[in-house]
Amino acid sequence: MSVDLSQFHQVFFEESFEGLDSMESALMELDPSAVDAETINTIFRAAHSIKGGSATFGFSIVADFTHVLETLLDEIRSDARPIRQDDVDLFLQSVDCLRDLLSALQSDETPDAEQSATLGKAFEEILAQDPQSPNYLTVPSESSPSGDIASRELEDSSSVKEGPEGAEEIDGPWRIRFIPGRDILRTGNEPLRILRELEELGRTCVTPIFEQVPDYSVLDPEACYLGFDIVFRDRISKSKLDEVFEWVVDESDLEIVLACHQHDAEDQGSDESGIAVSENDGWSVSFKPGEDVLRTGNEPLRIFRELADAGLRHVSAQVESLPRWSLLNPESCYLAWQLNIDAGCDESQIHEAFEWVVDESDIVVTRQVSSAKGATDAADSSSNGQEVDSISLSKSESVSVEGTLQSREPVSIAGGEPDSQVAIASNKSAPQERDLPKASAVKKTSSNESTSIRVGIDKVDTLINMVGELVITQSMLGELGNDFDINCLPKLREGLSQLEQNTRELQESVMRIRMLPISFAFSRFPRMVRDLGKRLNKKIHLELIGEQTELDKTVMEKIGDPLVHLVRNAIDHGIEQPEERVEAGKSDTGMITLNAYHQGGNVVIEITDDGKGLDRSRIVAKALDSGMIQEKEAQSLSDEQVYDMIFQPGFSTAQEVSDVSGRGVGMDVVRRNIQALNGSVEINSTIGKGSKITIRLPLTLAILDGQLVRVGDQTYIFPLVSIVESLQSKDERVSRVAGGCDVFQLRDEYVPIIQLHEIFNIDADTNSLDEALMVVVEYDGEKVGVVVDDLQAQQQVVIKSLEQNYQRVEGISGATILGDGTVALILDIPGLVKLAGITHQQQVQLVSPAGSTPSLKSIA
Amino acid sequence: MQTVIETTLDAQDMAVGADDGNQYLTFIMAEEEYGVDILCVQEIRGWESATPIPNAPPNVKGVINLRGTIVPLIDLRQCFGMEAIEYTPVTVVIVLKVETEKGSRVMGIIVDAVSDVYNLTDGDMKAAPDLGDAVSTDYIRGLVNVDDKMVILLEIDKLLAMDEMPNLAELSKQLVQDGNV
Repeated sequence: MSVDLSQFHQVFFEESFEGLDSMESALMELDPSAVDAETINTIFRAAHSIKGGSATFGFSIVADFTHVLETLLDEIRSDARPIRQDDVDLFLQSVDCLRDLLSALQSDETPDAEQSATLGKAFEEILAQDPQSPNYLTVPSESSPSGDIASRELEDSSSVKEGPEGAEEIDGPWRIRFIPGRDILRTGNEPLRILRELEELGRTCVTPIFEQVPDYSVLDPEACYLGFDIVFRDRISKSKLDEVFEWVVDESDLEIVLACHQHDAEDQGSDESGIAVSENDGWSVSFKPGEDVLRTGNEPLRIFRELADAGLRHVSAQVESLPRWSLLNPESCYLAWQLNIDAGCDESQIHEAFEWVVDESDIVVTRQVSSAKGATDAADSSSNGQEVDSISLSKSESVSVEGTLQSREPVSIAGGEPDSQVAIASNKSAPQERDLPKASAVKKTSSNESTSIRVGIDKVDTLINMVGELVITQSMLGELGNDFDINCLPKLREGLSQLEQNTRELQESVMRIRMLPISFAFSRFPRMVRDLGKRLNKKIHLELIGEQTELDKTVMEKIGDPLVHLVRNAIDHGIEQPEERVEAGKSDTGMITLNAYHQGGNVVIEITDDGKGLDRSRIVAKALDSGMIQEKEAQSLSDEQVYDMIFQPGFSTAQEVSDVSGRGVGMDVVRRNIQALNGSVEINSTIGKGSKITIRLPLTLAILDGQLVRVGDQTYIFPLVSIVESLQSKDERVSRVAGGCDVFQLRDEYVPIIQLHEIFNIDADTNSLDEALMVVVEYDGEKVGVVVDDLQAQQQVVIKSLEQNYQRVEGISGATILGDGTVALILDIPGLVKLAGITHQQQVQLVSPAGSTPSLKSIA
Repeated sequence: MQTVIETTLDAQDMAVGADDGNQYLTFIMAEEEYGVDILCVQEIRGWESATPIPNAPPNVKGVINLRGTIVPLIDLRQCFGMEAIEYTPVTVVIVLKVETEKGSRVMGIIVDAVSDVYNLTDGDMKAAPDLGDAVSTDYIRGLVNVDDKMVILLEIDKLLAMDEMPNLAELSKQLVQDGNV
C-alpha cells in the first residue's frame, strides 16, 4: 500500500512553521535563572513534532538536526542539565536554521546542510560536557553563538554524529531491554530490522519477552506485544547502540546498561524481567471516578490498559460506594480503584493517563518507597478477593484486563512513606498543558504569505446566522411581492429596512473574516529587539499592548516591513547606551512600547521609546547641510515641520552608518508604504524623553472613507484620510507664480492649486478661483489645493478596480458604485499632482514659508 | 478560392466542427452588418449614461455599473473612424467577454442596433480582402454573404485588446496622410 505523502507536505510545513513560531516565543520567555517547566515543555513538544513529521516525510536533514536539539532539550526538561543563556541563543539560532531548512524544502530546493551540521555539532559538544561539573554554569561553552562557527566548520566538516563518539568509552558487554510501543509497527518501524542492525554490530543474544501478549481473542494483529531482552556480547560505545534505536526510542521502553550492572539489579529485583528498581518501589494511585464517567465516554478500563503499558502492576477495586442492587444505575460507575505502578513509570505518564477524567474524579498519586516489604494492608487485601467480580460488573471487556493483570503477582503495598503526594483532582494543569500549545498555534499562523488563513469558528458561525436571516428576509419580501397591493406598503418598507440591516451586518462579518489580530505583525518583534539589543549592547524592554486589535490581512502584510524599520530605528537611534541613560537619570533599561488600538474606522499603531528623542538642532543642521532649507527659514520652522524632514529621501541624522540603520533610506519608504495603504504617519518627540511615532491605517483596503465632490456634472471621491481641510478661496490670496502655477496663501504657507476640471478636461460651473471651493489635500508631506464645484456627502465607499476591465487611469485610483447605481471615480492624489505637472521641486520651494511673500505677490 | 479560405482559418476554428459552424450575433453600424461570435456575448442592454473617464480616448465613452462590476463602454463607430451619432433609446450596448493576455475582460461595445443571429460554417466564410499594408485586417475574422448582404465577422479579442486599442479613425487618417506623402 503506498500513500502519496506529498499531499500532506503543505500541512506539515504549515504546522512546522507554527511550531517554530511557538518555539521561538517560548525561548524568548525563557529565563535561564528561573526555568519554567511548562515553557521547556512547549519548546520540546514543538521540536518533537517537527522531528516526527520530518522523519515521516523523509526530510532526514531536518529530522537528524531536530533529534540532537531534542536530546539536549530532554536533558534540560528532566533537570539533568541546567540551561544557560548561551544555550538559549543556540536554540534561537537553530530555530532560524530550521526555518531556513524547511522553507528550502518547501520550495523544493536543496537545503543548506552546513549550517545545521555546524549547529548540530555545537549541540553535541554541549551534550558531551558534564553538566555536573562545577564550572559548567560559569564557563561559557565553546559552542556559544559567539564561538566561531566558521572555524569549527573548517576544523571538521564530517557528519554530525561523529562528534562525541571518540570521547566516549567503548565498553561492554551490554544488556538491552527493549520493549517497543504497541504502535511501533504502524509507524513503520520494524523491530526485526533493529535486531538485525544490532547483529551487524556484534554478537547478540536475543530473548523475547512474552508477558505483554494478551489473549488471542483480544489480540490486535497490527500491534506489537513482544519485548526483547538482548545481550550484546561485544564491546561497543553506548552511542552506537543508541543510534540503532534512534527512531523508536520515543515510543518504546528502552534500557541499555552494562551487563555487570544489570546483574546487581537482578539480584535485588524479584522477577525475571530485570527491572532495575525494586518491586515495592513505585506509585500508588487511588482513583475514584465520578459517577458519570462512563457517560462522558471515559472508560476506566481504557485508562488501566494505558497504564499497563507504563508498568501497571496491580489493580484492586473498592466497592464501598456500590449501592443496593435495586438502586443501581447500570450506566453509572460506582467503583473506586487502587493501582500500583512500577517505579520506572514517570509521574507525567500517570497524569497523562488520567488526563481526561481528572476533572470529574478524585485521584491521589503517592510515591511508595520500599521500607516495609511484605507488609499488607487489611483494607487492600480485603478488596483483592472481589477484584475480578467487580470489574466484570462494570464492563464485559474486562476480560482483556484480567488477561494482562492476572499474569502478574498481586502485590499490596502499605506502610510505605509517601515520598511525594500529588492530588491531581484539584490540579488542572494537565488539560491546560494540552490546550496551551493549541491556542498559541492558532494564534501564530505563519504570517509569511500563507495562502490560507485560519478563521475562528465563531466568525463563520456568525456569518452562517447572517445568511440565514438574509434568506428569511428574502423569502418574506418575495411573498410580499407575489400579490402586492398598496396596503402592504408599510410592511414592504419594514422588510426593506430589515434587508438593509442584514446586508450591512453581512458585509461587516465578511470583512471580519479577513481580519487578523495584529499580533501576527507584532510577534516578530520580541526576537528582533532581543537580538538587536544584544548586538548594540543596549538593554531594552519591549512592551506589546493591544495585540488582539484586528486588522485586514492585506494591510497586515504590508505594514510589517515599515513597522520593523521604525522599531529598528527606535532601538538604534532612540535608545541610548545604558551608561548614557543612567547619566541622564533614567533606568538603564530602555523601553519600547508597541501599542495598537481602534479609533473610529482606523487602526492606530504607536511606537513609543523613552530614548533621547529627536534632536531638532541636528535635523536642522543636516537639512541646512544638504540644502533642503535655507538658513533664514530654519528658525521659523515648526517642530512638526522639522520632524517631517526625516521622512525626506536620503535624510539621516545618525552620526555613523551602522548595519542596523542610518543610511537614510527607509523613512521615506516607510511613509510611502503607509500612504499606499491610505494611512498616515506622524512623529512626536521630546528631546531627552523619547519619541512617539503614530501610524494610522484604514481597517481594510476594500472600503474607504470618502468625501464626495462635484465638478460639473461629475462626482469624484477624495479619500478622507488625505484631506487636510476644505475652504473657500479668496481672489486676493491667490497668486500666480511664473511658470503658470497658481498658488494659494494658506496661513503661512503657499499651496499650489489644481483645477480638477482643467486636468480632467471636463466642464465646470465656473473657472474663476474667487469664492471657489478648495479641498486641501496632503501627499508626501506637501499640501495641494484642489478646486471643486461642490462638496457633497461623506460616506464609506467600496473600492472597485478600474484596471480589471479597463486600464490604469492617471489621477484615478479606482471606482465605486454610488447609492443610485452610477459609477463614481476615486481620486488618486499623487496622480493628480503628476497630471497637474507640479514637480516636487516646485512644491518644496512653495511650501517653504518665509517672509518672501512680497516677491511672490509682485509676480502675481 | 476554397483553398485560400482554408489556409486563412486558424486552428481554433478548424477544431470547432465544420458541420455545425458557429453562431454569430450581428449588429448594424452605419448600415453595414457586423458579426461577433455569440459565445463572447454576455448580454445586450440599452444605452445608459456612463461615467466618463478623464483623459480617455474619444472612443471610450466611460464606465458603467454592471451588477457591481465596472465595465468600460467603447463606441465601435468611433473605433472604426465613422461619424459619431447621438445615442438614442434604441442604441444598443453589447457586453462582451474578451480574452486578453491579462485574462478575461468584460467590456461593452456601443452599436446602432442588433440585427440577427446566423449559423455560419467556416466554409461560408471568405477571407478579408488584402488591402495591402495600408489597412490592418487582423481584427476581421472573415466576410460572409447572407441573403446577398455582406456581413463582416469581427475577431473581437483582437479588436478590443486594450493595450493596442486601434483608434482606427486616427490610424486611417494617418495612413492616408502617409500614403499622400
